Parts: sequence; structure tokens; C-alpha cells
Amino acid sequence: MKKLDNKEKLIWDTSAQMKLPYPPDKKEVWLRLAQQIDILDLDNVQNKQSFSTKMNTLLTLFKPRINYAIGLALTLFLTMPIIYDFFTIQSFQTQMSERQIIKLPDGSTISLNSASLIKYDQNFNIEDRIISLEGEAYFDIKKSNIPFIIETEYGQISVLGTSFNVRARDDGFEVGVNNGIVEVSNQSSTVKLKKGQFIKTLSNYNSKDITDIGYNNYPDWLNQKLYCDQTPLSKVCNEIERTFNIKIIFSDSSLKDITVTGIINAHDLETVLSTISLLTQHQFKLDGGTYTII
Amino acid sequence: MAEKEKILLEKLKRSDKSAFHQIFHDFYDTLFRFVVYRLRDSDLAEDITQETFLRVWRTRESIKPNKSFFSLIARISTNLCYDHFRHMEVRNRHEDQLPEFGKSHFDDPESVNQAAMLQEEIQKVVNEKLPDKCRTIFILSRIEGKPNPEIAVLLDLSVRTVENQIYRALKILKNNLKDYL
Repeated sequence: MKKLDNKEKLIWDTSAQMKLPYPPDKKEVWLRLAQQIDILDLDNVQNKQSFSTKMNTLLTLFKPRINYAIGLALTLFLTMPIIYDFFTIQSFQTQMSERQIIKLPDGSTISLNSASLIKYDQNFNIEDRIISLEGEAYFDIKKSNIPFIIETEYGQISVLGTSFNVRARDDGFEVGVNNGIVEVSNQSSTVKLKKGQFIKTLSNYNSKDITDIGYNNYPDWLNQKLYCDQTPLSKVCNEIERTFNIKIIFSDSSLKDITVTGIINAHDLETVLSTISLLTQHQFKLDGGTYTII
Repeated sequence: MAEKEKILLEKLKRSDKSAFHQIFHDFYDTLFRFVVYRLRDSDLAEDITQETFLRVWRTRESIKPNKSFFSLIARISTNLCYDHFRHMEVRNRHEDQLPEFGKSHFDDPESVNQAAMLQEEIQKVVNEKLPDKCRTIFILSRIEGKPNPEIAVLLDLSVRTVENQIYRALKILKNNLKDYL
């Protein structure tokens, strides 16, 4: 070795005095290492299998079925919207004579009348509070900064927190408010309903059409009543059909235009039919599960 | 030693786990100190040392039993250290407020110890300025305290080469440490 000068000697000596941490326990480290090696080897074995044998068997399995695969892919593609809806849209539907009480994620309650449908998507109460309604339902909406919007085929109803009834059936659109303020709108018009007010319209909302709810216990259906105010018999019978899941036919179509007025107790079918017979002076005849007005 | 090492490496190449255990046993401490000298963090050094051996196992089939095993693991661990530093550099770019390693030492004049400071500077220069081969030999010689002939066997080099490299290291260190000598 060459002769070192003073400075080199200092570096030489100093560097050898360096204190380093003690190495960890070799046995422990080896145990961990051995474990990792086992995992590594296991992965390798599995990978090799899946690459050589598995891939081959899979390929031979699938090759003759390429047509099926294409068919499957096409079916999947076409049903995508339905599948998407299935996973993202929550819906509740009632059949004839069936009712349902639905608790929404925001704490609101919906009483769904018979033969009705509500839907909402996964963003409900996150981005918005939008539900769609076909049929009739009574809403008790929890107050929130997010407006609660009900979409119907006749227009939309938006509220912040109230209780009200919406009826969007084939024979008409009705909204009645028990508490708070409700805004009803479509593309062309908007009306505001206050507590105790009621609107019944088809398309154009006009504040002239707003009336007072003429009786307590609104809405009738939630209180086992059938409220009629110059209501055509056809509509009354529709309501009875839905409520009790029966079929009513008219022996003469002129009977449909008879109007009914009064609050009918709707606890049971028997009472309803006899009351209507009394009011209209027409009888119901039961024939093989179908009622005929004569 | 070299012959024994060669036999063990042949066995390792054929996936002999007990041979690997023996190799691990023979080289672990030296490699650990080699890494910890570079990182100054014993937890991290433990991780990198373990990862080095794991890589050896993973690539065991491509091992050349004639070549020095320590050179191989020194190279692997050095690369892992570089990876780590690169990773840290990326992190530090976002965390400028993090204190630089070793700075605090100079902030407090009371604790400044001449020898400790020089040691720290030597370590810095060894890690940053020495070429890989030169650094490995220097660390084995000075930190491990291994005699030159042993280093020569370990790295499969001539004793003359080892001596030259140590001398070269000292010269580089001297040039870089002017302010501290």
C-alpha cells in the first residue's frame, strides 16, 4: 500500500470509527424472507399453469362458441340501459287494491295508492330529490335545502318541505296541499298552491282553477273515504276498481256520465257499492267476478 | 471461500432453498451494513436488504456462479437505494418544508463534534462521489474492517485492484473534504 499523507490518514482512521446500527436478528429476517419466497413461488406456479394449460383449455373451450359469444355481447349491449336502470334506479310499484308506505333516504314518506309507481335514481338526496310518479300518492316531505321534485306526465311539482297529494292518472291530474307551499309547473305555466288548496287540471295551469279542499281528511283514499263532488260515475268506478281490485262494466255507456256527490265510506266494497247504488239509483250485479251497473 | 461460494450458487441456481439460506446467512450482515451506511436509516436498510435477497431468489436462474456474489447483491441493493432516493426526491419536490437530512446537526453549534462531523462528511462523499466499485471496496475495507485479500476474494478481484481502489477513494475524499481537514 502506498504511503498515506496526514489528511489521508485522518480520513482512513475516521471512516473506520463510524458507528453503524446493529444488523437485525438474522433468524427473524430469514423467516420473513422464507415466507415471501413461498408466496412468490406459489404465484409463479399458478401463473405458469394459467398461461400454459389453462389458456389452452379456455381457448379450445371458447373457439367453437364464438357465435354464442357474439350473441351474448350483442344481447348485453342491447340490454345495457335496462341493466343500468336495474342497478341505479329504485322503484316501487303497487298492484290493484295494494298500498304501500315508502320511507325515502331523505326521511320523507310516500303513501303509494293502488296501481301506482314511483321511481328515483341513486343520486336521490345527494344531487337532487327527484322522483317520478305514475298514479296517486300522498307525500310527506322532510324539509331540506334540496328541492323535492315530482315528475309526472302532466308536469312537475316542486316543494321544499310539505305534505300534499298528487294524482296523475289517465283521467286527470290533481294536486292538493295539506301543509306548506307547492309549486306545480310544466313548460308553459306555473301555479303555486298554499295549504288547503287544490288544483285539478289537464295541461294549462291557471290560478283561476285553484279551489279550496272542500273537506277534512284530505286525501280521501288515505282515510278510507271516497270523496265525490260532481264526479262522473266512470271516474268513481275506476277508483273503486283500483282500490278493491275488481272489474266494473257499464250496461249502458250513458251511465258513465252520471255525476256523484258525497263522501262515501270506503272501508269495504260492500258499503261502497250500496252507497253508490243509493246515490245513483242504479244496482250492481255480480256475475262471475265482474260487477255490472244496470 | 470462493469455492464454497461457487458450490452454493450452483445449488441456488437449481432452486435449492437450504443453499439460499446458507448464502443469506453468510452475506446478510455485510450487506446490511453496506446498505445502512448508504441510507443512515436502519429500518429502511432492513427493507432494502431483504428486498435484495428476494430479488436474488426471483432471478436465481440467471445467476453466474463464477462471478462474485457480493458484487451482485451490492449492485442490486445500490439500485434499490437509487430507486428509493428517486422516490424521495419526487416526494420532497412536493414537501419543500421537510428538513434536509443531517442539517439539524449543523444548526446547533454546541453539539458539533469535530470527528462526528468529519464522519458525516466522509459518508456523504462516499455515497455521492465515489464510483460504485470504488465505494463498495471502500465500505468493505473501512466500515466492515475486512482485510484487502478477503475483499479481493469476496469481489473476485486482485488484491492490487482492491488497494488501488481504496487509494483512489481516499484521494477523491481528500479533494472533496478540503474544508473539513
